[in-house]
Amino acid sequence: MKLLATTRIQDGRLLFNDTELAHGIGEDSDFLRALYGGLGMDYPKFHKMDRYARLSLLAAEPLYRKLREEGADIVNAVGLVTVNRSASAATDTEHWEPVSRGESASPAVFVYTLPNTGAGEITIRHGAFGPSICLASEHPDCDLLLTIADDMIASQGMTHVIVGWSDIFAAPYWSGPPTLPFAGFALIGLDAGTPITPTGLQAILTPH
Amino acid sequence: MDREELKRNLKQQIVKQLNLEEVKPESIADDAPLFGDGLGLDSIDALELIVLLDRHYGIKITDPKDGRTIFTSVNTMADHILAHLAAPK
Amino acid sequence: MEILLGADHVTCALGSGSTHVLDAMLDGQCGLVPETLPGGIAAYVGRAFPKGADQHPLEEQLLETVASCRAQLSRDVFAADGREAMRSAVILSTTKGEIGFLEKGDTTAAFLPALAERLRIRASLPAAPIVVSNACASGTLAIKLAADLIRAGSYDHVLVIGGDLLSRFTLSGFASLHALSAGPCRPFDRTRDGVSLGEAVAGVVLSNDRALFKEPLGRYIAGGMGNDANHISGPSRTGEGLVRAVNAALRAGDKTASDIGHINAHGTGSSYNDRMEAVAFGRLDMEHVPTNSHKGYFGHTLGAAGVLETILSLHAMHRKQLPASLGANDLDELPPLNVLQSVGTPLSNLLLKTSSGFGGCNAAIFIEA
Repeated sequence: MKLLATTRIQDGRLLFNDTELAHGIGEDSDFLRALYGGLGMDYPKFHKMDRYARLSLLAAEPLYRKLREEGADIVNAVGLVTVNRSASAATDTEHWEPVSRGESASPAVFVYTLPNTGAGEITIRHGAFGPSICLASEHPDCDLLLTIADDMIASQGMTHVIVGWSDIFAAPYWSGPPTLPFAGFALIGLDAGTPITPTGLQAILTPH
Repeated sequence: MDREELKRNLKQQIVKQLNLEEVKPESIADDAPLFGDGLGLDSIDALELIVLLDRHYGIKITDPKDGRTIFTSVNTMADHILAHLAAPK
Repeated sequence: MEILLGADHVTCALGSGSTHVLDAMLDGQCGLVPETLPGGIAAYVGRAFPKGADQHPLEEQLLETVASCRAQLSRDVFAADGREAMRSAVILSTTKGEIGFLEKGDTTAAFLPALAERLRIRASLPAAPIVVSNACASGTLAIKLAADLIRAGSYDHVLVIGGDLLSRFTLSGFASLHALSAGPCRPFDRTRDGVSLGEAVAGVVLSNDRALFKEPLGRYIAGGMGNDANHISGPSRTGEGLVRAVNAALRAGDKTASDIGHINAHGTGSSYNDRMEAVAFGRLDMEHVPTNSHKGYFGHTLGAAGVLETILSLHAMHRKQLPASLGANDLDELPPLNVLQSVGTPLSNLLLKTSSGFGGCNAAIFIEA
């Protein structure tokens, strides 16, 4: 398996293969909105998503653009593996808040109280029908992630797999000062690119 | 309540409640269909409009299917609200 | 390599123990009870766990399940200090985990990996369980992942456990979607009006070593996954993701529609979901296969569903007595499905289990009973 491209959202910047594509400042939704604008996206559904789904969508965007450039079969042959630690914790709190006071919940908030909504929104935007699996762990288990990606390619007919960590609250293996929401995504394929190892994947999926 | 003011408020509330960031409230025509092509609203938006009626106007809709006629346009929403406010308790 | 399933255990609204629960289902018992939610909303729920002041109710139930499964094995491969520790793993399927913590204001304690870590410590497992969280498709997906990892050579034995609590968090959310049925849910019925949520835990071991089991429950054949890529909470009207998932499983297992003996569907009782499944099974030429949903008996158990229903379906196939699809009194005609309205017989020993979830995820697995 080979690494074709990476994206990273850290400290308010969106990097594609270590080159900055867009940046925003501030911890709230505005920074994600700035990245959306910086990428030149025209996708009104973005504004209905919670922050975690937006973060995931933005991190994946440059990789799907790359896939389209390569002429990859996004509809049938691209798999997706997402992982994080806090799942949908920020939105969970937003959903629970009125309920705890005896008020009714907001349906548009509730539908984002699951960690696989990041993957869900990505597959919806790009019309990708292939397999996607969502895991939760303290830190990304890169041996496991590569085994799953390899299986998607070797046994499930995928030509490419996107593996990504996106978390609003938590950054893996990071004991430094709180960093803005972090996302690290890798585009993996069978043929072109540099060989990818668990250690290499870990470097992509963690901040530095 | 003045019908024009109600419609203005409704448009602002709709844009806010449904996160229609790229839509200016004043650009929503009174009789424009809210669902279908117009604003591209979906089933979750329809449920959120139910929440909007409850939160801002104290109107409870228990069956989402009733929403289909009420939420056809800003006009029909205004009609429903005014009828509800005028109804004897 | 053959991958076997066995050493199972379940706890749901009909009680504890796979045999006991299946007996109750074949007897037509419904474990759903009425409950009025805040705001005066009428619903039916599947209560399975003792109500108490326990801080970690899901954890306790999962631990009991882990212990029960391990006790049925001919040797304890899951012991952290055992010879086979590095060749054994646990996969946990759950949507909201120990959600009570969040309800009490402690967000971090509610994180799913925190639950996994506590299970590792208290059950002395070789490693923290791998957590799969793909909404309602999690359980079936977890079984598929377990088999994939064994086939890939990563492990020899994987214990799959699934569990979710009934909570105000989840009930209020489904209520806001107007997705709850006022009475017990009626999957595939013409006048179905929503889901009934239930709590449950279930566990089953997958292994490439037949000798691990006193009596295997089934043999894993193949699995598949597909996305609807349609809407975050509404299924594809053409059942696209489910069709792809089943086709992927058929290809992987070298099977055809005519090989299938029984379909245990997702069948939640929601208008859209059940219709989507019927469309999908029609497209797959499977409308003749005896089909049911279990959710009328104990509710939609979210993260537990795929594991719980697979286990019970396999037991039913062994007995050649498939439970009726409880609640399907008056079948929805379009599109037609062979929904069991009384106890039925499988056409062969091949089970197809499917699950679908929010976010558009669909999973399908074939297991030989």
